[in-house]
Amino acid sequence: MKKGLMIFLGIITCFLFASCSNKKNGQMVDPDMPRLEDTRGTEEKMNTITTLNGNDVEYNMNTRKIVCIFGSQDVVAFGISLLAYEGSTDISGYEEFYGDARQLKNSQPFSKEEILSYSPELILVNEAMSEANIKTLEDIAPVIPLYTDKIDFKIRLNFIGKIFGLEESAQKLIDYTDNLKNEMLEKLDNLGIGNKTLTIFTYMGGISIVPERGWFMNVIIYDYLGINRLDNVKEFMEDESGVAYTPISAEDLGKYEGDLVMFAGFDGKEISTYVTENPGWNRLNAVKENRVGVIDITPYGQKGVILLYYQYYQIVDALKTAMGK
Amino acid sequence: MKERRLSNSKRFIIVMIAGLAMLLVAGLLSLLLGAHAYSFSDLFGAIFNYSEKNDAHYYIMNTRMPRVIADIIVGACLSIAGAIMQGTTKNPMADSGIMGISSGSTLGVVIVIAFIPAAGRFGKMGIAALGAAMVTLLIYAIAFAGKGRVTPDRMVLSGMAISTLLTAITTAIILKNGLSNQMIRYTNGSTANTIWKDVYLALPIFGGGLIISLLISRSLTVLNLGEDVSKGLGANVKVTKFLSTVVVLILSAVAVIIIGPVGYIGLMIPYIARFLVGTDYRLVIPTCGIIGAAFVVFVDLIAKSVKPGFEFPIGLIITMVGVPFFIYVSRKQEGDSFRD
Repeated sequence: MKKGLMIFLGIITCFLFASCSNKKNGQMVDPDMPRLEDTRGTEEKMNTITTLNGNDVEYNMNTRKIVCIFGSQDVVAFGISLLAYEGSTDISGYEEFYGDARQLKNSQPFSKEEILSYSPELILVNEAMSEANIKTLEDIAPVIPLYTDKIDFKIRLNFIGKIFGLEESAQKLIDYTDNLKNEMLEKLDNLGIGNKTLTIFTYMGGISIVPERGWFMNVIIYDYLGINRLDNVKEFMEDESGVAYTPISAEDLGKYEGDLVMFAGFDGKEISTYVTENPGWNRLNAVKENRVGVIDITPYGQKGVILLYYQYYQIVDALKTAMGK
Repeated sequence: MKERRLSNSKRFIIVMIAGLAMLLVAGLLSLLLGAHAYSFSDLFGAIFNYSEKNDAHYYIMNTRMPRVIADIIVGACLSIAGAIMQGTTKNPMADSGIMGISSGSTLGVVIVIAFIPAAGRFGKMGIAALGAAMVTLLIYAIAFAGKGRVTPDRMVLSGMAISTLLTAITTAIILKNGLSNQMIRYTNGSTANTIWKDVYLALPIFGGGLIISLLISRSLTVLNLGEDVSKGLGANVKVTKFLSTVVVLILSAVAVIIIGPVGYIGLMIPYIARFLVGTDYRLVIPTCGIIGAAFVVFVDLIAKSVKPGFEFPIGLIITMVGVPFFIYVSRKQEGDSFRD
């Protein structure tokens, strides 16, 4: 009996490990995005920078030995090669920017031993990282935090340009983001969205609305592209008292329906059957008229120049569907 | 003995009438209250003069009605499964949630969603039942693996250990496969997403489980007297135990598919039922069915009234009530719950 028990536990363990496969997203790179080269010299060039936390950090500006625990999607756009990048990033579709860089097995929390194994000369981290953690990493190499919440690419990219003395590259990338934004605004103009309101629903154990914080598509849609939303939707999204992802009663979904409806799926660009079979969902005008735009929410969990094209592309595509075009 | 039997029968009739009345009231309130309050005329209109265009009719018939029926099925399933488990193991703390059977079903559901997403609802239910079966075998295996006799405490402890292990495995699969959003409904417990399809699927299985439960109820009562006495009275102990296990698995799987791994219902309701009608399982099982159903319908009414327009997980409310009850029962374990 004991032997049988061990076999059962063995099977369960095998099943668990067999399940350790990551889903890949079908992400897209903009063919028109400038492919920059790392124009820095190879000699050691020491520099002192005042970080976002107000600390003065001395480091080698020309180092190629960089470990990025946060924000690699901006850094690699400069043509800078990395030793390792954050474990939370799925680079499928963006491999060309990462070259031989290795994915960290541990990002949140990081593993000091793992980072030490790369023998980095510079570590880039999240602006929100605690001073205690920064001090721990400083035992290995100089640490520079990158902007976390800033949505303005001009500020984000200029700072990275300043760190590596690649201000010209930064400007090229800033121009690219501006052009891309204008191009998308033009596309929206052509769609005739005007003053129409948009609601982005999602599914998290029940149908809900994507909260304001943490999802970059809200910034693109409501800030960059200036699309309107209903007052109660705005209130729901901005409520930080714990209402985020609270399932909305099927009977009340209609109250939150804007002129346009999008669905942000956590399982790619698919609407779960729990949603499509929900009587309240099927009562929405957009659903009845078959004009629900669908986006994959996962690319919006991070910000970065290389991601921007696909992030815009998905939204414009979904808005076309939402407009019935 | 005869007087007491009569007394229990009378109490049974009173409890059944009171239970039915409670179920009726809770069910009626659940149909009328929620995100919006509907009137009796809306309710009658929805049932006898249904119009798809009428919002009240639409929501009463397509969200509230299947939800109430699902609550009834879940309440009855878990209570009856708990009663049978407690009867066969002679352990007043046995419950499909606490003993880990629900966690086996949940693991089955997660495996289906992660690896066989094309499987239909019936497939999910089958694998959930299989998960429950494996856990049951495992609990017995662990309990019998040690030295000395198998005590109720050892059964509960092995069940809890298995439950913890399977919950960890389930969580790992959920995280590795990015299924958190899909699985929240199972981990927190809610009938808010129930549709008629769930009810149509669950109802015949529930009906079958209920009929078998009633058919074996006399044998369960005899089994409670002890295996030797049962054999002496001509009962087939092995068949009774086998059927009991099958029924527990079926009922637990049906409940998990609808609501998720909600514990404590199968602990509390049978305890109350035995207190009210004694230990004759011909009376205990129907009593559990009615009280369990009324309890879940009532708790779900509270869940959707906490913040009207939003859904509060029913499992959290049940756990808040269930944990103190579990502590109470564990302190009273030597008491009179299995009194004649």
